Amino acid sequence: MKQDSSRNVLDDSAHEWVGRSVTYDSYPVTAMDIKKYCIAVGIEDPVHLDRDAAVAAGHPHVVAPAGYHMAIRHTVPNLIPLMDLFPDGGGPDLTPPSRASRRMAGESSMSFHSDIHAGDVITVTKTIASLEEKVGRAGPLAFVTYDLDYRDADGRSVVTETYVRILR
Amino acid sequence: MTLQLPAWPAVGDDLPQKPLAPTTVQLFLYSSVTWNPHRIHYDTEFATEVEGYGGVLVQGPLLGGWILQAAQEWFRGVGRVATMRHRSVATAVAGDSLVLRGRVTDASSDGLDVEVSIAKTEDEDAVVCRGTVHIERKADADE
Repeated sequence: MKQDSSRNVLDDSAHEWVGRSVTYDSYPVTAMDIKKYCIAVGIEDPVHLDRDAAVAAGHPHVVAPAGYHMAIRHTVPNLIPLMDLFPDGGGPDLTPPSRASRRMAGESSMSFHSDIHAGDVITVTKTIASLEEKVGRAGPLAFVTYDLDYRDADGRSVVTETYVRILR
Repeated sequence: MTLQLPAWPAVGDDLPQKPLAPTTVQLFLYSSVTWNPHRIHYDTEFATEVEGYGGVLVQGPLLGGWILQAAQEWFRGVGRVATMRHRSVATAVAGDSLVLRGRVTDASSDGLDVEVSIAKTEDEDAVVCRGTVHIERKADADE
């Protein structure tokens, strides 16, 4: 059924974006970057901060806490020239064309298959899985669902994630 | 402070609460390590006067990061975080006083599910984020 497109947030051409996929620059994980993440969140377990503690616990090197992949997720699409950022600081980040003025984070769902350690190199691929338009209390909304796959240098999937961005 | 549980919990158990007190400094550092240039997280004038929020916004992924941090502390050495799902239901801003709560809602052959909420300290019904974590019990964990 064709909706009245004047009520929609997404441009008609947005639907051609379903299935589009980007593989970003590989992200080298370092003990220092894991430490920065831990300090920012407030994580104090030494297996994430100190190599000796990590090795004593059976890890090959400092192990990233679950959630660290979100630092990778946000960094890699935003490594673009300053002039390409929007006035509010946001970046385009594989967002289909729309007349939305605001973007909000919707539900995020993640599966952890194996640990990420300092020394790993992680490559993220992001794919637009689906687009959906709804009318909410505050007017029309669009939901962009992304599938993300995080792989190590051997091609093993370490984290998979589904992330919804809300446009209005 | 650690939240580590003294024993494997049962369905219905409330897990130790974690107080959270996000500051502008913490939000700035989280934006920095996640390379997040969005002004609503560090530019108070922009967040309040242009976007109409009550302050600089706590990042949604940071709320998810806190849920994962608590899950890892609760089950340190005995369980592993296998999956996590979360969504923001209201905004939290720097200066808010928050409490993270968890309750075991289901048990299965491989582990258990914990429902987590992060709410304003002054009103436990003022939930800003809800999540569900699935914990796999480690095979070598002691009873």
